[in-house]
Amino acid sequence: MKSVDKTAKGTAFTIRGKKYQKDTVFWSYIMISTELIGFLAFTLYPILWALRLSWFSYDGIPSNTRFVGWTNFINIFKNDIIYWRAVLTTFEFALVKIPMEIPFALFLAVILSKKMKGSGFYRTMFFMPNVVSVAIIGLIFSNMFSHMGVINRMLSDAHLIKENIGWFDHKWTSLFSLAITDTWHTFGINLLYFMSAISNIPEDIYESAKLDGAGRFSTFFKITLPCIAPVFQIIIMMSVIGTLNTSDIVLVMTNGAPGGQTYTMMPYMTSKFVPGFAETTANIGYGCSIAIVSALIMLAITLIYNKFSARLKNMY
Amino acid sequence: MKKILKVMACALSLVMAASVCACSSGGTEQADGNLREITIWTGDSHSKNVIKGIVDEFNKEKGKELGVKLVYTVKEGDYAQTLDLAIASNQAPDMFGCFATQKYAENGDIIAINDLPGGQEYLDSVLDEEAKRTFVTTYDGKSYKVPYYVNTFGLAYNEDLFKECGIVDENGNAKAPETYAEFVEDAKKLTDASKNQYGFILPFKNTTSYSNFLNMTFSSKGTKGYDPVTGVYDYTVVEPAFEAMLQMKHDGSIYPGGDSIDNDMARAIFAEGQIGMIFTGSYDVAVFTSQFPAKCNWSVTALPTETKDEKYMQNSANSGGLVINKKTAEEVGGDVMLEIFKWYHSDEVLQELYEQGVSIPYNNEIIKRARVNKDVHPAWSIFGELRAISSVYPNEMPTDLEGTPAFKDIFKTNIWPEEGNMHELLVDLSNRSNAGIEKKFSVNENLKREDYIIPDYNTKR
Repeated sequence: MKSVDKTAKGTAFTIRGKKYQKDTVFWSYIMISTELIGFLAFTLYPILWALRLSWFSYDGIPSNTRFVGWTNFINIFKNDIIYWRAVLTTFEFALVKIPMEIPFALFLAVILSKKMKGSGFYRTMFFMPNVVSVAIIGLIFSNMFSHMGVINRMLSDAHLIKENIGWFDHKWTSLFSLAITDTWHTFGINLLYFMSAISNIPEDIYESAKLDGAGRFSTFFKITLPCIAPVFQIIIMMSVIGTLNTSDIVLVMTNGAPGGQTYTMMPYMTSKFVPGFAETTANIGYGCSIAIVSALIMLAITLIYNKFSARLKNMY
Repeated sequence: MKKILKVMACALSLVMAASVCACSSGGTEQADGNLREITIWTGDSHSKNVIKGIVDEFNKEKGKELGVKLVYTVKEGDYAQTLDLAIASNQAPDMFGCFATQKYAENGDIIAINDLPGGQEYLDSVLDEEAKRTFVTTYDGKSYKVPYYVNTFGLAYNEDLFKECGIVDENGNAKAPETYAEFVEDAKKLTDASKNQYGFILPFKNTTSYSNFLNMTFSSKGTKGYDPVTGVYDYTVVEPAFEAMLQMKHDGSIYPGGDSIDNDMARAIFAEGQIGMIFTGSYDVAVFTSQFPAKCNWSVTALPTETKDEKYMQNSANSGGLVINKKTAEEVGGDVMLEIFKWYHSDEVLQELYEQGVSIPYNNEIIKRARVNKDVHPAWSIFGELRAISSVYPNEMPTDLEGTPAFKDIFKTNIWPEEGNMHELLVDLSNRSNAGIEKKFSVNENLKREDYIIPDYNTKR
């Protein structure tokens, strides 16, 4: 409830039992206004624009623009086999990447949380890839995994392979290369989240466990993991959304190779319908309807995940 | 301390104010008299330095006569987007290169050459039959651009590697392939995987390099899938060219991992000297000279054809050229803008660009009389000669595939990985494309079928 309380310093508001000065409220709105304007102009408006255009055939030329009703959506479900193949690949990519990324970040977080020399340095180093441009990372790794790249050279020098491997010649090796690259790029942020969650676990719980004779593994599985479960749930959710949303790295590194088999939803949409990537005559309206369908798929996955992972929230 | 800060702030303000004044007083209007600046934007980074020199010459004489000063700018990066933004924010240049002519024409951003004083007479003198029916300059019966330069295409080959592998003529010179069969055979001979040496490299990560196989089809059949005489799609014509490509793949003579390699990387690998052949365009001469200097002797030849007996014109792509901002024409005067337009597209300018190894003119007569500078790579003249056997592919009949796979999708997901029967896939695509024509025309009353049908179309050479 809101009530007004005249004080010597000026008008104050009480909102839900907390007292705020009028100035504080005003300045709070000023502070968030830039973010709010940014959200309205660069997020909400484009979403509404895409929603509207998804009912149109639109290639940028005014006289070619036509209202087509549900046709775009019908075509997605009825005809666009490549899109649904990309949706399937998106899940396959998530299945390869997430089991690689999360345990790796957690493992390093547990190690770096110990009071050891140089942990700050390693923490910074592991986070560094996160701030490097995806385009640069994609370019570096695509050269590393290329036919005459450094990976093949290392394996060859170690006598592990006789002939150079075509990493992008087969779907699963290509997905594996992408997963390694994307993991290298994103695990640093998860590492920080895990470290922050671990640092919040009270030290006395560990001390009690030690007194009770708990070993390292049982301490990890029975104390650390349950204590960070709520954060774990959020990290996995962000990782799932991030992975389903993967775009740039695929475009830069494989662009669907081999034979479009590593196109996930977003790169497929970008390469076929986004001006600058697609042909000049691409039907942007159809691309918008694909974006809407993809967003709904991601929303459904997130809701399902939240429902089934709700138990993690209450573990500690 | 506060005093010192105040003094410093005042001093800084004075310096800034002085520099702003200096900037504004150094403007072109005072320096060059009352000349009106005409801004020109293009995305032609390859010709930047040469064009700037030519523009400087214009400004010294003709520009002063017309009372204008040209300011030529090459916009790097995403040129189309930069241009769109400039037009939307009312900051469009006075003249600019563009691809989306129809969009800007419909929005009233550009003026038709026909609408300028003397514009129709000028158009009559520069637009030949080919330009009229193939060049994307005309919208709603009016022309907004005129032909400028073309890109010609060919097969570049590593002369050193050809000689090393014994693929030579009677004089001991490298002998380039003429037919698909020779192309496949040569690629096989040139390949030695143990030395990481391959006969051919085909990049199709970002670019549509497979379109070069379509270009080979155009040279061999006179069509790439759309027949301008009948107005019907028949993609089965591409089969022989694609079978040749798949044969090379089976022979192991194509550099592995082509669909994850972009054109830049492929050109860099070719330049290293371990690749026998690569599809190229005339713009690649500069690439192999400055961007990725070739460490081998290389040359270029016409694209191979299915047989030696039946050959058609090669495909070439029109490029370059400017359009005129409608507001500028109204403000400065249509006659002045037409004079600048005529100069920019004149034979003299195009000849200069060709002689300096920058652009191949649309008009073949200019190539015939030009003398290419000695320091330009010899392949440039061959690309110039290819203009005589090249023509621009006509506009294809618009079709609506309704979300079903298009040609490039089929190439990537089926033909190259060899999933499914190629003939059946191409027949299915042809049928869908032909059915899509009806669909497209039924919802767009502005489209006219006769714009896409050329009854006497024949490019046999």
